[in-house]
Amino acid sequence: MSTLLSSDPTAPDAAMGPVWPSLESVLGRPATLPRWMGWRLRALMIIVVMGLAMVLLVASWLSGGPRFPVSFEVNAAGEVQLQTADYPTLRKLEGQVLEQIRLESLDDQGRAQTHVALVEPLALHPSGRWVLDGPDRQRFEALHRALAPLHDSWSSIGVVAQLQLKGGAQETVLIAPRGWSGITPTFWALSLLALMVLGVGSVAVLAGPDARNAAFAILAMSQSGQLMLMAVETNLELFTPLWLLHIDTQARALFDLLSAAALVHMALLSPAQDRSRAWKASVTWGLALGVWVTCRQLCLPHSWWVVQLTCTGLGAAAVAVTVHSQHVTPHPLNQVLQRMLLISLLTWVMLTLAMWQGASRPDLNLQLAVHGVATWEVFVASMVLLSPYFSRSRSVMQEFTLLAASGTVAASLDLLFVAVFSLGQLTSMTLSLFLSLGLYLSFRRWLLGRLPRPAGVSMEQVFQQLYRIARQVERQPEALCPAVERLFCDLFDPLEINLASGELEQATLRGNGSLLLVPMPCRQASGHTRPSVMVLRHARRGQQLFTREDASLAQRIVELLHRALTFDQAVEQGRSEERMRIAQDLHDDIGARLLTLMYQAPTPEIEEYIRHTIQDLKTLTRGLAAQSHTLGEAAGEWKRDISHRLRVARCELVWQMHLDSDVNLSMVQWSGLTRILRELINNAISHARARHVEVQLLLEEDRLSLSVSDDGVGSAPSSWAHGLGLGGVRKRVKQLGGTVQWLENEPQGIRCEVVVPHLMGPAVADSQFSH
Amino acid sequence: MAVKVLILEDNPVARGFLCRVVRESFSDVSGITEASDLEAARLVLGHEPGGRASPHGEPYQLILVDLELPDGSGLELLSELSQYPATRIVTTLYSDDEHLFPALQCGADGYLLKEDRFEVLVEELQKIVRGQPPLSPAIARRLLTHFRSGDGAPHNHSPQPSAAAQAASALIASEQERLTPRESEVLTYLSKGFTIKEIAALMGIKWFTVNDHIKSIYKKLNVSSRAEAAVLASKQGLV
Repeated sequence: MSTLLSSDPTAPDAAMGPVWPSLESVLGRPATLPRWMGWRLRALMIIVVMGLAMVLLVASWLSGGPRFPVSFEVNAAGEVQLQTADYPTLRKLEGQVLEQIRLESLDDQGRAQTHVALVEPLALHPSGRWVLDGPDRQRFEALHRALAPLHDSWSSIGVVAQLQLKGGAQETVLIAPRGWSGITPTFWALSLLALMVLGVGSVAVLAGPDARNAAFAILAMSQSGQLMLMAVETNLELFTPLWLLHIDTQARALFDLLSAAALVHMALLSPAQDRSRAWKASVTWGLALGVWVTCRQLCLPHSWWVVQLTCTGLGAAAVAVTVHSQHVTPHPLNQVLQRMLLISLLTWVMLTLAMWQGASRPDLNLQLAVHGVATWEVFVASMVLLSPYFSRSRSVMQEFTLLAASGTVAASLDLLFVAVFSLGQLTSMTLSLFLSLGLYLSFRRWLLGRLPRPAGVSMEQVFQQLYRIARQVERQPEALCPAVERLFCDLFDPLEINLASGELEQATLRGNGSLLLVPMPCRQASGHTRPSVMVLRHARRGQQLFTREDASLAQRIVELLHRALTFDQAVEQGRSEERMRIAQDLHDDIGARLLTLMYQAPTPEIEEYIRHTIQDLKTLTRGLAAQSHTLGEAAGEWKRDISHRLRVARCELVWQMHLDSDVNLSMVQWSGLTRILRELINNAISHARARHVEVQLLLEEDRLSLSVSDDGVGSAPSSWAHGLGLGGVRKRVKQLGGTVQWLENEPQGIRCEVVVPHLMGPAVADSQFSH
Repeated sequence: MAVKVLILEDNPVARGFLCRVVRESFSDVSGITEASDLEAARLVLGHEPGGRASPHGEPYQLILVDLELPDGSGLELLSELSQYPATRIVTTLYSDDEHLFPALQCGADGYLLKEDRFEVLVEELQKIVRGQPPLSPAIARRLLTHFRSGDGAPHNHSPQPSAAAQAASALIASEQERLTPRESEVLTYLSKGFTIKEIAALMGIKWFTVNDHIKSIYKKLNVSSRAEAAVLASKQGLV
């Protein structure tokens, strides 16, 4: 702020109104972030290109690998059934149960050797990570080890293998290389998703290199790695090389643990957590890495459970941390993080339970390990992918959350039903679909009930308020900022609203939607010509983020207001110019004629009459030309005029005035009151021939009372004929919305009382209504 | 000593009326010269338009100037008369500060409202000549803002004055020796419509002391206005 004042040559003085802090000091950082700097863009490009090259390398490695010409399925009896054959000559194999694969190869001495590899459902698992028991996992590895000779004798034309079918039948097939066309579409889809997640993670950390973004990047990299591994494994099936099996199990456990730890770290970095943040974070990372080091091979009997429970525990800790910080200082980003964590944690627990329950049935177990895990991974990855966009659009957030949640729930329920109630595939599928559909609908209704956009103010009310603000600003230019502030408060219900001085093109979001900056309409006439910006912090008391829609709504409101104000200004300027001209003409022409007439008046009565006419004309023209009067200023002039006139008439004046606040009089009010007073004083001097006149002017809580009493000869006011003078007074009092009455004074004389109950009526009602 | 009077007024009826007022006000009027427009007045005073009127022969002691004239504004003559040792009085129909304040800045010693009654005008004229100029609340308010802001009445010159002009106005501020606290107080009371007697009672001073304050304010306004005019002229490259 101090820099602003010293650097600004037109530094505002006290009369210019309040001095607002600069935008920079409110935001705590430069108002405009540096654009993409060259090196960042290059780094991102390098990362993406390297990722792409990696994917292509993996694909080319896959295309050279073996591919079994028939697809497998596990039947309910726990046997491996041959499902769909690639070419017609093998179609006869469909539906047969496969027991062994025999491979013949030549050993060092040139003798033919036969390797027998058993085919069990366990061998079809894509990854050791999702095999629960230690013994099972060893068996899983042993089964793959038995297939190792295939890799040893692998050549580019393929390998001939004999299939031992159930019932003693044998069949010889050629296991050929996969080729580029043999790579499943799932691979491309998953690797594309992995690339995108990688990109999002790198963008986050490159755009804002801080701890929070680093944690997000770690999360994104982990998910990307998971997706890539999954993509590879969907192609390999039986023929996963042993080295890949080892790496895969370890890497997947590491990725899961790292993701959980990164989530806790991100939750810890919210503003509410100040002390012991570093300590907690290091404990988290230590725990995750420690568990990984001890259990990475998943060889101990309970390793799998240790890893699962550690991830669950870390997830629960992250949720707890967000709940706590939301309690301390509400922040919309925190809220989003909390909800996403909760959903992920629930699905994770469900997946774990489903795997545990389904372990007894090999066919189900395989289904879970393949599809359940894949669904989970895709869900988490897409959440990571979309998280930067949640603040941009509320609908993206809503729809994604709903679809992802209900989709995951449907899948998990499906698997759970099959596992727990031993229902058939179709039944469980139907049931879970219905359930999740119901859940989706009810959740959607709940969500729409929870975040209703128009709940605060309807559009109609916004327009009414805009109109009212424009009218109010016309009367009091300084009321602009408070009025706009109130409107935005009603619209967005922010936790905090500030004005800052600074320049801004249009309404923008900052801090991923936790801040909304709105440029204020600038008014030349109102004196504050310095551009200012309204800073809204945390929509809905910190429960929500500002979205793009919010920003454009605010922008439209400000534009409308600006247009209304400039229009009003132009109209007002035109009107006042016109009034000035009329006033000038009236005054110069008619005034001069009347003056001539007055000088030549035959009798003093006529002279006096014309003098009053001239005075009325002057009041009229001044009312037309003058900008505005405050009651205090006007009263000063009235007092002086009255005392001047009474002095000439050798009459004594007692003037009492008390105003509890000084208000701006409109033209009608000013000229009305001026003429009422003049007429009353005129009566007191010329008709009542008073020697003593008392004027009392009071303004108390918007109630104006004016009383003029004299000690003249007038009496019985009720019997007065309503002449021109009294009629004029009545008419003007009525215009002001007040009442007038004439009373007899105690010893002698007349007292006239004028009461206007609500002098500034409409304006006050306005401001009360809009609060 | 005989008083020589110049009356500048385009309306012949009003001119006759003012002549009567002048004759009634002073017992020793030696001669009244009447002029109906600026050109005639300049001819009488013997100077060119835009020049400076200087006294020669038998100077006028009292000059009444109408503001609205067929060939211009009375303000022009007033500024040409700035060096002329006469009591200069504006006669006008306009009683608002927008018209009167510039006249006072141009060096008028007081003003008469043409629609006032004969007796009132006579009394006012005598007062002005005795050195008791009137001050309406509106003009008092104008004076307060004028002296408070330091750079004259709120006229619309460019929003960012040049450094030279700023320095010049700072010079004026010191030169015109601003209002004393007492003078400000008097102005504040005047702006609220108090009469001289009431102000004297409120401030616990004699009424003629209040009058002295008012005269002093007039003088300061004149000095500051002239300095300001010089600054304005130098800014516009006239001098």
